[in-house]
Amino acid sequence: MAKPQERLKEIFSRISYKPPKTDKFVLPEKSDEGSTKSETGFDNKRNEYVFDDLWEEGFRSTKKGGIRVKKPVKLDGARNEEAGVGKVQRLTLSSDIYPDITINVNYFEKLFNLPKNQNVVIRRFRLRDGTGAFIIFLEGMIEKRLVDETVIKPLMQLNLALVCPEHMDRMDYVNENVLTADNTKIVRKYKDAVNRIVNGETLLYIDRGNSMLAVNFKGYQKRSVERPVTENVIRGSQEGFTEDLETNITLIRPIIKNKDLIIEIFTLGRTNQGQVAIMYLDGIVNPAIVDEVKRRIQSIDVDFIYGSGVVEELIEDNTFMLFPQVMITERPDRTAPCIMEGKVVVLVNGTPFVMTMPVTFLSLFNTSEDSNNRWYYSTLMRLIRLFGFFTAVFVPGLYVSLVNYHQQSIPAGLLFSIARNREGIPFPTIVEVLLMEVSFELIQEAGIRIPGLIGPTLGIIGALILGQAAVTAKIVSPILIIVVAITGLGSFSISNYELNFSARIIRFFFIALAAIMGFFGIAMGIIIISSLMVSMKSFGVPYLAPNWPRTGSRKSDNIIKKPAWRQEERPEYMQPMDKKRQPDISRGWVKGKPSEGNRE
Amino acid sequence: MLKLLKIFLCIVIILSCAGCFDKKEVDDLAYIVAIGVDKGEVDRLRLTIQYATFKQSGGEGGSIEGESDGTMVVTIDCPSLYTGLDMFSTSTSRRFSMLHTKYFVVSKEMARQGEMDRYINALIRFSEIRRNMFMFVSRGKAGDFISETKPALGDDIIKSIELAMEQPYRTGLIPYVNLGRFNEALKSTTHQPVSALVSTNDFKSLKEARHKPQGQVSGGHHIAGEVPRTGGVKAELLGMAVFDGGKMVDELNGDETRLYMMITGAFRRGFFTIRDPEKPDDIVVLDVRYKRKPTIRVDISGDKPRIEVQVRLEGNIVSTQSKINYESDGLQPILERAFERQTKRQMDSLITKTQQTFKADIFNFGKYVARKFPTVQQWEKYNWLDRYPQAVINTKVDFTIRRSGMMLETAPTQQTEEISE
Repeated sequence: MAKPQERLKEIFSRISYKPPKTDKFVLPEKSDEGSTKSETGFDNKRNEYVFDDLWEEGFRSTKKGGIRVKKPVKLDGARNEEAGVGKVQRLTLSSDIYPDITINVNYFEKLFNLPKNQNVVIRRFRLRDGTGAFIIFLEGMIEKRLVDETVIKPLMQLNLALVCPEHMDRMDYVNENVLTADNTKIVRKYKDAVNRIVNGETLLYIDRGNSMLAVNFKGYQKRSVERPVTENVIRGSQEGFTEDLETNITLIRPIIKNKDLIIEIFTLGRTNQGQVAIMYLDGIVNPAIVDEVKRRIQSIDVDFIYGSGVVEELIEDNTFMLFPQVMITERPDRTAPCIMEGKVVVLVNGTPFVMTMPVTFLSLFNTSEDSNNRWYYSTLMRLIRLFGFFTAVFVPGLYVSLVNYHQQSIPAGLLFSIARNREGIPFPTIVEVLLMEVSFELIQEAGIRIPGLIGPTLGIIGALILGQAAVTAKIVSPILIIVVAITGLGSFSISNYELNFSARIIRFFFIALAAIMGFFGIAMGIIIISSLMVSMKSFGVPYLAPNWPRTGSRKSDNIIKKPAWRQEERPEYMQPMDKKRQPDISRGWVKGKPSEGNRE
Repeated sequence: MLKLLKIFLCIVIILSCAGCFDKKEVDDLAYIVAIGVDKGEVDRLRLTIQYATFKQSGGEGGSIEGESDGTMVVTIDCPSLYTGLDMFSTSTSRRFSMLHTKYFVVSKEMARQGEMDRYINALIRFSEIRRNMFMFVSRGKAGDFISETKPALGDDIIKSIELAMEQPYRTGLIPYVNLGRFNEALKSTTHQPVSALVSTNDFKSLKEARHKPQGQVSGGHHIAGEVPRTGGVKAELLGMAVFDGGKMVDELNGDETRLYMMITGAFRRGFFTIRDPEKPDDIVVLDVRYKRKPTIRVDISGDKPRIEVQVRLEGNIVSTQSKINYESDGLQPILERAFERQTKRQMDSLITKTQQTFKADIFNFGKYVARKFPTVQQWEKYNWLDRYPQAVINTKVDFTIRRSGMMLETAPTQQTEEISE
C-alpha cells in the first residue's frame, strides 16, 4: 500500500495534462544564484578583474617589448612581494588606471567582451621609441580620418622617451605638445574611460602611464535639423529639434546669445548611461526651481533612459494627474521664450522633444506663433484653442445629457428632427456615442500607425464607412456624426499634444457622468476636475496661475496677449530674479521726434 | 492619489445607483404640441391633444385618422387631464410628454363655468408642464381649434405655432399671456387674468356681413372667429378674454386689445386706420409705436383712488387718401390731435367698461397702487380688486408723427378734367 501522498500524486498525474516531449527551444528559467565569474578571473557582473601580477602572459609581453624598466622579473614570490609586485591585483571600474598596457588591453577586452563584441576596436601601435600604445573606440561612432591624422600619425612619429622632460607626466606632454585634436580630456579612472568610449570618444593609452586621453571625434549618424512634425506654425521658425542632445543645445544657443545660459549635463540610467541636460538662464530663473529640478533628476536611479517621456514621468509632481505637468515641445523657438521667462528646460538625448518646467494650464495653449503674430490675432487664436479644448471635453457629454435627460432644453424643431433621425436605430444614445467616439479614437490611432503608402485609404474608411454608411445602415444618427466631428476638430485645435490626450480621456469621463446623471453629472464632473486642477502644482507653481490664484503681472500674457511693448514683466508666479522684462517705455521713438523736415 | 481614486469610485457607484432613473431617449416619448379642454359629454372633460408623429409631412403617412403635417390630433372624454393622457396610451405605444407643449386652449364654455383655477393649478403643479406655454380661450370648441391649426406656410407646425405666438408683438391684436402669467394673475391681488382669444372661422362672416362697420374704420373691431375673410387656415387669434378670478366675464375685440396692450406697456407696433380729420369720408393709416413706455401715477389720498395714465406714442404716416398734405408742419398737428382724441376716447370707454361691466382690473393698475403701501397686510386690507370700479382714472394720450414714409408730400394726381369733376 503506497503512502497517501504518493497516491494523491498518482491521482493528480492521471488527471493533469503532460505536454509531450519535443525538441523545440525552451527558454530555461533563470536562477538568481550562480556566479558569473569566469575562469580568467573576470567577474562580468561587477566588472571586476582579478589577476596575479606575476601572471605569465603579462610578463611575456612586457619582455617582448624590451623597454620595460619597471621591475625585475622574478618568479620568487617573496621578493616580488617585497618589491610591490606579485600580489593579487583587483581592478574594478572605479579603480585608477593600472600602469601596464597588457593589463589594460586585457581588461578592456574583458570589459567590452572582445572578441565576441565586434563593434569595439582596440588598435595597438608603437611610438617611434618603441613604447606601446593603443587607442580604443567604437566602430562607427567616430570620425576615423580625424583620429588617424591627429592622433595616430603624430604619435607614431614621436620619440617620447627623448623629448618628454623627466618631471612631466607623459600623457600631459602628449596632450599639450603632440596631438592636434581640439577636444581632449585626461581621465584617470576606468569608469570615466568606459563612459567616454560608449559615448563615442576615442581613448588613448600609452604604456606605463596611469591615465588615458579621451579625444572627442564623435562622428556617428544623426538626423539633420528638419521641420517639426507635431507643432506646425505658419509664421515662425521652421526648425525642429533632433534626437541628438548636442544638436538640440546648439539650436537653442543661437536664440539666446547670453553667457549666463547654463547647461548642466547629467548621466542617468544604470545600463544605458543616458544623457540629460538642464538649461536655464542664470540671473532670471529662480534658483529654487533649478535646485529642485536638479534634485529630482539626480535622485533618479533607473535602468534605462531612452527619451524625454521617461524623464517626464520620473520627475513630474503627480503621476496620476491627467494634465501634463511639464510642457513638451519640439520647437527651439518655443523653448527659448520659456527660458527667458525663467523656466528650466530639460533635454534628453534620444528624442526630439524637450521639456520645460514649471508649467501652467494656460501656457499650454500658447504657440510659438503667438509671439510672432500681432496681438489680436494671437488672442483670437488662443480663445479658439480654449474653446476647442472645452468642445473636445464637453460636447459629447452635453449631447448625451440633453438627449437623455433634458429634452426640454432642445428647441422643439431640432428635437423632433433628432427623434425622427433616431427612428430605427436600435441602440440607446449612450451606445451610439460610445461607438462613434471609440471609432474616432481608432481612426486617430490608426492614422498614426498606418504605413505611408496606404495612408489615403484611412480617409475613405473614416469618412465613407464610418460616417455615411453608419448613418445609412441606421447604426448611428446623423447628428451624432456632427457631434463627433466637432469634438474631433476641437481636440485637434489644442496646441499641446499632451493636453489633447488628457482632453480625450476626460471626454469619456464626462460622457459617463452625463449618461448617469445628465447636467447634474456634468456639473459634478466640472467640480471634481476643477478642484483637482486648482490643487495641482507643477514644480511649486500653481497649475491655474496666474488667474487662480491671482498673481501679479497677470495682464501681460494671459489669455489675452498684450502687444509686445506692453509685456513689461515676466510672469510673477515664476518668481523670477529679474522681474522686469523691459522698461515701461520700450518704444523709444514714441517719446522722441522725427528729424527736422520730416514732421507734419 | 489612490485614495482620491477610491473616493471618486465611491461617488460614481453611489451616484449611478441614484442616477439614470429618469433617463429617457428622445424617440421614446410622444411630444404633445397642444392641449385643448372642452366640456365632456361622456365624462367630465373632453381632452384633445396634438402630438408630433416625427413623420415628414407630405410623405406616405396620413393613413391614420387625425394625422397631418407631422402631427396627430386625438380627442378623448376623461375625468382629468393626466388620466386622459394615460387613456391615450392605450392606443399609442409611447409615453406622452408635455415638455414641448406650445399652448393650452380652453373652450369658452369651460371658462365661463368659473373653474379655470382648478385646471390651471393642476397644470402648474406638474413638473413637465412649462409655464411659458401659451394660454388661449377658444370661442368654439377647443378641439376644433387644435385640429384646424395647420401651418399656412411651410410644413412645420411647431414653427408656425411659435411664430403665431410672436403676433402680440407684431400687431398687438392679441395679448401675450402664457400659463405662468395667467396663473400669476389668478393669484394676484393687483390684477385679474386675461387670455388670448382664439376661434375657428367658418368663413361665413364674409358672406353674411354679420358685423357691418358702424362708424368703425379700424379693422380691429372684430373678434376671433368673426373676421370677414375666406381662404387660409380656419384657426385664428384675435382679441382677448377677460376673467374675474377663475371665471371668464367677457371678450374684448382687437382694437380694445391694442389699447389694453398700450396701457400695460406691452404694445410694440401696429397699423391704425382713422378717419381723415378734414374729410371724414377718407381714411388715414398710421404706423404707431411707443415714444416712451406709458407712465401711471396713483393718488390714494382721497376716498377714491385716482389714477393718471399717460400713453406716449409716435408714428409714421403710411397712407392718406384725401391728398391733404398732413406731412407739412402746419397740418401735422391736426392729424396728431385727431389720433390722440380717438385713442383717448376709446381708452376711456375701455376703462369704463372694465370698471363697470367686468369690475376687473386687467391693466394691473394695482401694481402701482400697491407701491403706496408699506406692508403687504395693509395692502391686502385695502382690497384693491373690490375698489377698482370706484377708481377715478384719467387718461392722456400723446402722439407725434415722426416720418411720412417715402413721400415728403402728396403730389396731386394728374388726370383729365372730365374725371376730376
